[in-house]
Amino acid sequence: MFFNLIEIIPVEDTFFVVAEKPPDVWLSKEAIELNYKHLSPFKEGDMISYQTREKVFIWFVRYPLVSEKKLFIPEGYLIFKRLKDYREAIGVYRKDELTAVSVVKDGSLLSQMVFRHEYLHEKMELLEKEYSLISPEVIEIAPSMLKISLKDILNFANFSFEKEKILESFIEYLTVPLVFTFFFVTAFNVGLKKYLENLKVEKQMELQSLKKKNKDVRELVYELQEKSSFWKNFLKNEIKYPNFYFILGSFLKAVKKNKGYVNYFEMNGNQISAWIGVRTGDTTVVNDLLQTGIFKSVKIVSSVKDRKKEGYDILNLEILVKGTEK
Amino acid sequence: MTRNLLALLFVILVFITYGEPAKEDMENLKEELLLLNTRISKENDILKKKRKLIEELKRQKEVALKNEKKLFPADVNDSIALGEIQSFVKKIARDSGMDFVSSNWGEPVEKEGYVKLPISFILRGYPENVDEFLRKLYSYDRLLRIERITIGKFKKEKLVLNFVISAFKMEKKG
Repeated sequence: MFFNLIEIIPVEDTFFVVAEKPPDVWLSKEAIELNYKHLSPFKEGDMISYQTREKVFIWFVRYPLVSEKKLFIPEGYLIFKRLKDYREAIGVYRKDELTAVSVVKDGSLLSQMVFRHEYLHEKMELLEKEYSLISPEVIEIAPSMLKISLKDILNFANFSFEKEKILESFIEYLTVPLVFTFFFVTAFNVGLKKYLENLKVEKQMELQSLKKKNKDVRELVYELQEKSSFWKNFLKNEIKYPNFYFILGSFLKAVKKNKGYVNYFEMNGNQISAWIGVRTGDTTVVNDLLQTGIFKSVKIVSSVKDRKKEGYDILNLEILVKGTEK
Repeated sequence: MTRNLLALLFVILVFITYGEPAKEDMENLKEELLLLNTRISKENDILKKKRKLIEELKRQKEVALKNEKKLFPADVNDSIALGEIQSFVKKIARDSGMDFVSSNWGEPVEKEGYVKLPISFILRGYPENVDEFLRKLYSYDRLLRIERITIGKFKKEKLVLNFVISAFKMEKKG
């Protein structure tokens, strides 16, 4: 599609002229026409030009270039492109019964002529003499060797292509595919969205139906969760320590093991304060109490002789009970 | 050209108005569907195991209800509950050979989901009576917690027990 915008003007339909111009002066198409149009052999034709720093290369075209939307590139220019790296060269481009001969010297195209094959040899001798070529390389160029680069397009777009028309051309060529693409994508998106919405409704209904079937399970779970939460809270607040009967039993057992006796016992929360009688100097009871595993700490706060029982001391103990929470 | 340009602008407008938002909606819908599928799959799993699940849940509920019986029901009046505890303690004290000295009802304390019913006692008895009394105290149908206790000596090897116990009552829902 893009290549429909480019048209190659056959070399046999052009007449080539090269002219000097003031260095670094860029000539407009109108200026070139004004200065060089008179060199054209074609009365009704057109022209395509290409400029370097010091020269302007003009291809007069046999016929008018009517389409404003196209970019025209002379075949002669593409032939020259193949030769411009040679110091001295004669390019031979054969096409049907005709041959285009191009003369290049020091990278500049000097002449480009088209004639029948049978005159090739004498024409080449003539050109060598005319342009004082010492030992030019003769380069055969096949049509398949002519390639258009982006740079070529840009070069000729400057003169023979109206940039404003590009947008127009693009719009003309791309409207249908773009309209189709946008419509297709929109329709696809909207359609798929509708499909997904319907699917969502179906799934929601399926979920509702399943939830209805599992309602009794869910209600039981909620009920148990509520009860579980209640008991967790209750145990945390109210059953912090082992029961008192167990604590007291363990305490008395340890005291009895040391042949002691209890004068006073007080428990508040996890704090125990007790007065116990043990044999003088014997504090093994502390160890025995700790070994029960119920008590976090056992401290002897004070110790005095038991005036009522010979050989015994009264110990004031402060004990902390371990919590039930791990 | 103008006609083409207008056609292009029109489809772009349609795309921006409907096509692009639909795409965003689709992303959200896909996420919602993914979530719905996960939930449906979970519900199907529950449905498959429903019988076993219900059996297990009912068993757990029975255990929970059994535990709840350790607390006074919510509709029992605080005074009736405290009176019941007092009678019970008095009875086991007598059965254990303890002397009942006094008892005082405390103020019920509202907690999260339950009510605490405190009551204090002063009892006297020999060590073996105390042991029997405490054992019996813990055999009560309802849960009792000894908040604080003092055991001191009284006359002739007798002990004096001064203690505060709490029973618990479920709180009325709502």
